Amino acid sequence: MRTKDISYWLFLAPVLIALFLVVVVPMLLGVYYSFTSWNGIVTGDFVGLQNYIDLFKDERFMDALWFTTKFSIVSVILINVIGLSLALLVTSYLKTSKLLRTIFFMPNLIGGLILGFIWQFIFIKVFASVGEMIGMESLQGWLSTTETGFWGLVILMSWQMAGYIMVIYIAYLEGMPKELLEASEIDGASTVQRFRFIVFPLVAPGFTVSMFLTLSNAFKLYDQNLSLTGGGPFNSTEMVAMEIFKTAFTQNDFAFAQAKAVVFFIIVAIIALLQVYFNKRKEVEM
Amino acid sequence: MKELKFSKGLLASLLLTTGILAACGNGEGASSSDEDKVTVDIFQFKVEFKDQFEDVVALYEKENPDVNIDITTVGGGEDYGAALRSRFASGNEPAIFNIGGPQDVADWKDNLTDLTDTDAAGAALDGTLDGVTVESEVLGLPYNQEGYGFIYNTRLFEEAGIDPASITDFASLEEAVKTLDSKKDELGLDAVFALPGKEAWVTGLHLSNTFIAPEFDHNVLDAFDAPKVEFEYGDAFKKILDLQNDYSAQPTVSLDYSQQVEELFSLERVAIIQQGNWVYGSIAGIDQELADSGVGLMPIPVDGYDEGGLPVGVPMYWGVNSNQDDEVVEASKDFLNWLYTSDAGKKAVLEDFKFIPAYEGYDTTKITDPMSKAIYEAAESGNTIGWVFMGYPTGWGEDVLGANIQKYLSDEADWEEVVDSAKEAWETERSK
Amino acid sequence: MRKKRNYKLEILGIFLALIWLAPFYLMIVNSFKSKREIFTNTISLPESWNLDNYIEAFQELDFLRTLFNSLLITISSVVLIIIFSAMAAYALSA
Repeated sequence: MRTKDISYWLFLAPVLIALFLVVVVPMLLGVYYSFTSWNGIVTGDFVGLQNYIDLFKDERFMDALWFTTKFSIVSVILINVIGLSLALLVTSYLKTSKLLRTIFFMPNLIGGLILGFIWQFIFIKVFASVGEMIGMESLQGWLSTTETGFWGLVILMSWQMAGYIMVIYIAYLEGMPKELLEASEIDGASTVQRFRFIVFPLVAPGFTVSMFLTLSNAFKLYDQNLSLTGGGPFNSTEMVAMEIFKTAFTQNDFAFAQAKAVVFFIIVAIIALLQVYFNKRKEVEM
Repeated sequence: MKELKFSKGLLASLLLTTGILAACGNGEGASSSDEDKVTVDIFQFKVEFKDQFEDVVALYEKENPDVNIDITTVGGGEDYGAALRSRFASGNEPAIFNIGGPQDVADWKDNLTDLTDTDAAGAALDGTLDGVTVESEVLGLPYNQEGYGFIYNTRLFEEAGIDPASITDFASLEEAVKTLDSKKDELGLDAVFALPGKEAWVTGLHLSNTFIAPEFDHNVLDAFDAPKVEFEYGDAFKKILDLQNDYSAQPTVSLDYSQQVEELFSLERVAIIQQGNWVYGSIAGIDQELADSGVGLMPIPVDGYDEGGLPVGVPMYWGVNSNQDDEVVEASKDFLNWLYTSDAGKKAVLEDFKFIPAYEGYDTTKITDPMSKAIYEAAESGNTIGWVFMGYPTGWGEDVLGANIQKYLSDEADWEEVVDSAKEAWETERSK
Repeated sequence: MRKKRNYKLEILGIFLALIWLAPFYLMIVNSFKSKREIFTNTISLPESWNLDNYIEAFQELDFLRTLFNSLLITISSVVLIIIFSAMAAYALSA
């Protein structure tokens, strides 16, 4: 351990200054604004905890929070299952393995906003055309109900993120010592047993990373939400980030939105910390 | 040895940091290059006429070499408001910006110059300044006029044997719709209407306005000051909404503007849509001929009230920032006067922007598209319904009423609930 | 250890890849259609491959300028991130 001399701080300085200027200061300012009646133009009066009290009575915010929670749970599970499956698939001995990796990763190369519009087109136009062709009524009118809107978002998110998560799992799968697998195979372990008792525990650190990424991404989702459903029908597929944005920029209730953002931040932080804590305990030290 | 590496790294990082800071500093300074010129920053929101507007401004700069005009265009309703606020917050305030209605005027009052003495304000048509007049001070100048109603396909009407002039009230409209519906197959229609339930502004702002305006005497300020809304013509509202929904391409809840105007109406798969003159470009993008000569505009009948008025109003106003230096304020006023009252300006407004002018002294025979023509004629004869939706409580029209209507369209709520919760939201918002 | 290639998995992989690529297919095919054709003929190949949309996008978006902006921002931020985070990591790790 080097002593913390002046050079130590100088090396840290750029990062600390940047962090302070673009993270700490705006956040403190934000917390301050959440106690006022700021409308985006003038700061307004100091109203104490009023915004926080109103917030828990705001049905729309609560609905959005609940919808976001449901969405996050479903998509975190789906993305990780699909991502891990894809990773297992492309790390088995396939001729097309390299090509497949590229293809599954491709959705990440396009921005969320554009993906949302592409999938909106698919859900509304392509689903309808295909439904007409094969006579499947359930493919009509996608995104016009809360359920189809929900699943539309889940499908979009899974399609986009599974490839990214796959890459993380691939790294862990390929870093796995081959001897262990070979030994177990010789000892007569079945494929399922090998996966359950060897692959799974060794990939566990990958879960920590992937779950953290997917969970925080799902919770903070905005772009895809905006371009795919726009919150419709009747704001029932509105997620928290979008609800906060609308409070601020459509209703011009900037202070109230700020209070919601603070609460949202606390929730996400708690979830993320808890999840990392629990996953850490399950990891196997190599 | 280690010490040496250290100091090298240190030096490099320090140099880099200074370099970056210096670069940032340079960027800021570069914009104020022409010292002797007056620079007018315009921050505007109408994306559709960005190119034409820039051309006109170039012309003005040529005529007035001592004025330099910079235009920034930020599109879309919400984004504009947000961007404008951040411009002000950053201290880089524009000289001319856009305001929508009484709420904007109230929000920005301290930053708006009194424009009462300008020539443009003097030339503005009756009633177009209502929304921006506070204590006899005119704080904004209208962009243009716009109007909406039922846009119909004249060929389809003819083939179905319907004379649009005969549609004068709700009963005759319903009759015509039924006729069209019965001839759907021969006419090649998917449905009679395309009701875009997804676009809350179409239902929650425009359609509702037709039925709420009479209640407030067509005056946007009355609506803005009203502590509550009664939905006096709520039944008539429901009738029109039901008519559109029952005879619309389905599902209406997820039907959007592009499907309504471009896909269904422009490909002649529906006969009537509720929209305004701004769809001209969208229709022309698919079928130029249809846009130029195949469409007509008729009023939305308000059952039990005057059934022939076309809702006409001013969508946006220009405001001049009073915090700027006097010479900038004067230059801003001069530019707006020139734009709306000089011959060159008028020509551009009419022919390049394709605006329906909100000012007198225009050669209105130059208005070519049939929808704009109908609107200008209605405005001239005074047979209009005012735009009061700019006076709705913030977000009420789209987020409350529009969303409630979506619920109604998906059978998640009945009409009573729609009206009741909209009334309640209005009162809560106003009592704040 | 040598293993046989698994053809069932191979086919499954290709099948999944096709699903993953479907949106890209739609995006590309429709970019060559006129607006009118997108509405009338959504899934199949365009009747004629026209480049109008690309020309318009290139002109309207001021593609070169925006691309330059993206490049400038990306390159400078990547350089800064690498230098500063390496510095911080060095200080924190040693």
